[in-house]
Amino acid sequence: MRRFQRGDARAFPELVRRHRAAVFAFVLRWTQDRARAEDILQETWLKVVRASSDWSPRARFTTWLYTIARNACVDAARRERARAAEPLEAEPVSTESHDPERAAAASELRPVLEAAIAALPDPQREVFLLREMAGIPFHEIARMTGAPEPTVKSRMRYALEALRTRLTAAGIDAPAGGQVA
Amino acid sequence: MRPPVPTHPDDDRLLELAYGEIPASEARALRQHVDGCARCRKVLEGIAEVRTAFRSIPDEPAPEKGLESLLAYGEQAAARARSRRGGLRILALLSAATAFAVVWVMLPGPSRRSDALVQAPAAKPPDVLAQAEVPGEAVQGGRARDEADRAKDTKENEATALRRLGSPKAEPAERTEQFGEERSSPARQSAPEPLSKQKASQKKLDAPKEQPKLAETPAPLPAGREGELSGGLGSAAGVKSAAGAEKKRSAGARPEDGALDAEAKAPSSPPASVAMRPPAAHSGDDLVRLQAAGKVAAAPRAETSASEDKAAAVADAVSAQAASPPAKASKPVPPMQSVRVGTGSPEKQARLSEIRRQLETARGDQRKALLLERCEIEASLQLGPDAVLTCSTVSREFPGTPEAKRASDLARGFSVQLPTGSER
Repeated sequence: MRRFQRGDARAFPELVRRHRAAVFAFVLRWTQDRARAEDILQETWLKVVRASSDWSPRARFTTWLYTIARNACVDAARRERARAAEPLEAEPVSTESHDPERAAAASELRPVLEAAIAALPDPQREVFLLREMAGIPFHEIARMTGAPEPTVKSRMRYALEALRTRLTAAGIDAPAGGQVA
Repeated sequence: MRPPVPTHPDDDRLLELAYGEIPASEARALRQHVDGCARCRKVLEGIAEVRTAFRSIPDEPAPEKGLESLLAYGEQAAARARSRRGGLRILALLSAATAFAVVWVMLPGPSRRSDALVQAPAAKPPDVLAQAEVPGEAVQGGRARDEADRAKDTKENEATALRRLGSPKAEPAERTEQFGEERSSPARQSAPEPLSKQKASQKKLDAPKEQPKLAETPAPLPAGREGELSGGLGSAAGVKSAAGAEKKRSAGARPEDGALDAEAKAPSSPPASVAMRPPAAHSGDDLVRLQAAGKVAAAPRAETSASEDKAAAVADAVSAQAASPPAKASKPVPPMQSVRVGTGSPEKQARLSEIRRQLETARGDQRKALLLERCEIEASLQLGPDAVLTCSTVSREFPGTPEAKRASDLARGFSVQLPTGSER
């Protein structure tokens, strides 16, 4: 990002390559609408470009990036609030996976998990996605969302419990691979 | 088998442990507890289960739609950032250059340094003041403030000069008063008592270090002009840098006549003159001092008549504030006719204004004479660029005439002394 601020034309494609897919997944899970997610994704990156001069190295780029994405999602949700949001249809797992077993497991897991995430209350989903997908620490999520840190942690715990309950109810055990630090 | 840990950690702590947000030392302690606590282990396993399941799902690939335009937009932004940085760099350079220029202008230049050198030994000027007419209080006060400010600027150089000359430091306030009075007292030339003291100080000036430089100055005054204080070209050159600064500062306020003229018209009304010139502009005192310094530099000591001695002595006294770098003063300078308007710069400035007015309608020989006179006055007032411009006008409009030759000499005198400014 610092290179991009200095005018390095190669820096921005590198940033996009590194973070765009993750941001899209985050937005997609937030909005549960592919078309909207694409719009928000583009809006997010345009904001990144426009606000690049505002970014300070004191802030982690990912935190800054996901703050923009999150705000874009919140704005979009406000705009769409009047409409009845269609829940995100379970989408086929990407066939690009090279691990057939994993692909098979994911094909079974994905719809359940996506539905479980979609069913989460917005504050819980928000915290879950920011922590799990964007890797933003709880105290920074608290700052981003304006909620106290204990509240953020509570939301996270509730979200995890809800997801686990849904997974268990669907008869899906956690894939092998175990510990996630 | 580890002994059971009596208290369970907070669920939030377990959450933080699961997400690695706990310091390593505390994490180790918690792990030890979890290993021996079924309840806490279950909580952690539940978190890990969900996380593992979630991470087992590959992310949706980001759409290609809009990627190209986004990258193009980013490239444009990068180019803008580059140009902005370039612009900022240029701006920074310009700022630095401006700051340097300001400092350069504000710092005492070589003329002031030399001024201090000449001034230092002249601890006698207060006596000169005693002989001079006292101008209006307001004028004097305003000029005294100018002088006090200037004295601050030159304080350091003065100290250097004093060290070099080994003479007592002149009191800035006294100098202030002195020059304020000198400026408004053309009759000071005839002041007998200060003259003797000035001569005494002149001897100081003639001390080994300074004397040869002063004595080398040629430019004998033309006969019959003994009573006139003429700012020789040498003087013009000697203080050219100071005059240039003067010109720069007053440029905005004097497209033609300027604040100096205004001051000349109303010498006893300082508020008006102050209002008409930029704050940093030199007062008329500067011009007097510069002129007098020119006198110091240009007037020959040996060949002058008695009245010239008087004038020279007064000029020496005044030169405490004037700038005439000894090195410059030693250069041969073409002789310059004395200004026909007397010694006081207000008179010169008034005459200059009058000439400017007359030049608007003058033709032929009258114009030639006026242009030459203007050239001489501007030279004597150290208005370097103006003098060069006017003198070159004479040469251009009246080529081959004695006036053109005289004007060329004057203009050349300035260009000869141009390196003065570069010594800073």
